[in-house]
Amino acid sequence: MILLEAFSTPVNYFPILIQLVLAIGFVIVMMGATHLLGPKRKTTDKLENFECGIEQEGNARQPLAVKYFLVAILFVLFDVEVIFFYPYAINFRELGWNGFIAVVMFVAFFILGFTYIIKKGALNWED
Amino acid sequence: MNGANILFYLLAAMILGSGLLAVTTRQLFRAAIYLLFSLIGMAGMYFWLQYEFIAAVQVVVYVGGITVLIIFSIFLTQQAGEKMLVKKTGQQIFAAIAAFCGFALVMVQIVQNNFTATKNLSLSPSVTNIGNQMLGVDKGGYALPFEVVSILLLAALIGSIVIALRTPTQTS
Amino acid sequence: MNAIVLSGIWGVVMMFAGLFLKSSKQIQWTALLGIIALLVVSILDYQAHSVQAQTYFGMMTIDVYTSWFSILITACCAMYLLIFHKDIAAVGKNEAEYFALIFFVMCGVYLLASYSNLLILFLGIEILSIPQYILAGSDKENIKSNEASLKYFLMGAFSTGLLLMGMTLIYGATGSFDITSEKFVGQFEQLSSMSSLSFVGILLLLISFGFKVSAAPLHLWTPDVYDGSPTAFTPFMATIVKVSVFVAFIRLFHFSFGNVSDAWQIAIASMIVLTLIIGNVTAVYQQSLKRMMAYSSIAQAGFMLFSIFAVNSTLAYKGILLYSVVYSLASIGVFAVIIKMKDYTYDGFNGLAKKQPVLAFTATVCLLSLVGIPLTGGFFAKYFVLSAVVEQGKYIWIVVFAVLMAAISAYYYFRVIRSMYFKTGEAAMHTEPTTWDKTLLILNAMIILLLGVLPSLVFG
Repeated sequence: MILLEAFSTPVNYFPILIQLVLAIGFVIVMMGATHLLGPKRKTTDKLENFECGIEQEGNARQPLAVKYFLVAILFVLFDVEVIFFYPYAINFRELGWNGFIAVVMFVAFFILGFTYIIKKGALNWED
Repeated sequence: MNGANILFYLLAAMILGSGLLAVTTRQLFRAAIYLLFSLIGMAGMYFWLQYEFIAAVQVVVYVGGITVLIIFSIFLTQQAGEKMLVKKTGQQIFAAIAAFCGFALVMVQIVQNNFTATKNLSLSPSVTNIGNQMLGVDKGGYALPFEVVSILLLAALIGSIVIALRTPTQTS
Repeated sequence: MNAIVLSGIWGVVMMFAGLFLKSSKQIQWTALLGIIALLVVSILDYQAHSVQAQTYFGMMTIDVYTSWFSILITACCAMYLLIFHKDIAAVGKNEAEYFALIFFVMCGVYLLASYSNLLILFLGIEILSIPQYILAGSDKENIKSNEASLKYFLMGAFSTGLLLMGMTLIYGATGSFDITSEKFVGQFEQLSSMSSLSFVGILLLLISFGFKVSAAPLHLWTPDVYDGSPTAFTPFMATIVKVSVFVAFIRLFHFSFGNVSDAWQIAIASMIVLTLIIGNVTAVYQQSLKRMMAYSSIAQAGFMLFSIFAVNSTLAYKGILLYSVVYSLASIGVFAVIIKMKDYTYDGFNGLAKKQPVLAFTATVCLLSLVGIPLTGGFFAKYFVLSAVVEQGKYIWIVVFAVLMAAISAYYYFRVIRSMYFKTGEAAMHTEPTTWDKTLLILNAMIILLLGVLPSLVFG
């Protein structure tokens, strides 16, 4: 037990830190080097956004359809629900029937909500 | 100063720095991205505290879900490229004072309070323990809030349908 | 406990009723059936708990007081749904969902009435709030409704954040979420041994609760939200939801923080003074009756705060019960008349007494009750909460001040009565009241008058 605790102290994340520093450092060095060493020729064409050689038209930032938002919000809701299953799945045996009943109730609400949005047509992409 | 401390300060700098940038930048989309980094920093902080499950939840829900939602809603509502208006100086000063007072109030209390270490061993935040607690039906178990959460999520689901689903008559 | 389960399940039933029932009438009947069933179940719950309190999972404690309040609030909600069910269905396309959200709110109401764990308090507040944000914005085409929803959501989310922060600090000081646990009770035994962490925690909880019950200076959202929301939902938000938050408020602050009342009583006292001044004085200047009722609900919250102020007094508990019922019924009665009108300004009510004598009469009874005229329930409601403070013997001057403010409130309530009875005008109706509406409104007024004579009926 003591060994295990010693094994999982914050110090053990030190290699990750080193890796992080190396990764960020590599990017900074490479980008800085190309900027400093490379030749610079600035023309208006070069500063345009690259769109396969075709001249760009209008603004890419147009208002999005509300549908994307609905799908995103449903995604987050079900995301949260799924997270609650994970601790149950780990302890499936220990929790026994009581835990099973609790989860079944949770799943029932979950499934009902899912049926509801399907029936309501919230996931139909085309009108 | 050992490795753990260095990590802590790095994470704290990441959280606070990107948080500060998120509230000061005048471009809404950038604010969302800075928020993303702040949330990733929070996840890192949970890892640092050895709360692996909470950290994973933080990444899955906040970094993966909420930020996407925020970015979608920015695209939905306004021209993301445009800069936001600068607030009046009076408002800025007032906001700064209010934020500082709130911070000072909480901080002074936390520093003053001497937290006594518990005599009994603290429960390890492993997923096994979390699961046992969350679904426990005896005293101290959180089975009831667990079920209530499902009702809460269902209410939110209905709300999203009522607000965001286009009703048949409103064809554009 | 069964009421909580049933309200959750009936929310789901309403959800699917919208999918499978084609006619609006059937959906409305399903909702009415649900609220009646809820009423029956809460009465059965009361009988089961009248002997001794029962704790569920160490999370909720249901005792006589709690289950009796559940009956009363369910009855008020039944009255609300009976009077407003047609108007709710007329708000927008998703009628079944509106009813579903109302049932989910009821679930939150029961949780708030019976929690014994701060986690359940938080979840209860959330289940109460989230459907309300939606209901406020349910009239999607109306920009004022959108504004109401957004304002309510932003401010509400902020106050929920403060609530969580307060709970965190209290958890830090006590080490427990369970308000009946030894650690929790021990922390709040006396002021001298209380840690300063819990002091700030109590302060933050106070701010958050003050926001939810729209006590000044945290009332700023109230006029816009109550005015902008569809008129069918405003009475629900202003009555049933508000009084249930009051019950949660009283539960925490009397049972848990009662011994350290010196720490927060002065804050409540200043809240009361501000709320009464701002609510009553601003209401005088309103031209729209709906907005006036929003300010009136702020002013009434000021009176209900007296029951929080008078710590651990039986009169305060009685007072808040009576006040909840009487205030809810009276506001529902006034809004039931407002929603029938085309023009919400005072002039729009000119000559209503000639055209619709029944509506004018019931509105008058409700308004008199809101003022607190003897022989209406409002008198005893105010009497009980104020005498609870007098009995305590501290801060008597606030009581004098409150009586003065009640006199000011008479001005704007009587102005409506004057428009209805002593002015001539069109009083254009939006919808004509049916016999069924009139019967219910008369029943509502009769209950208010009955409580003015026999207030002990609500004490159970």
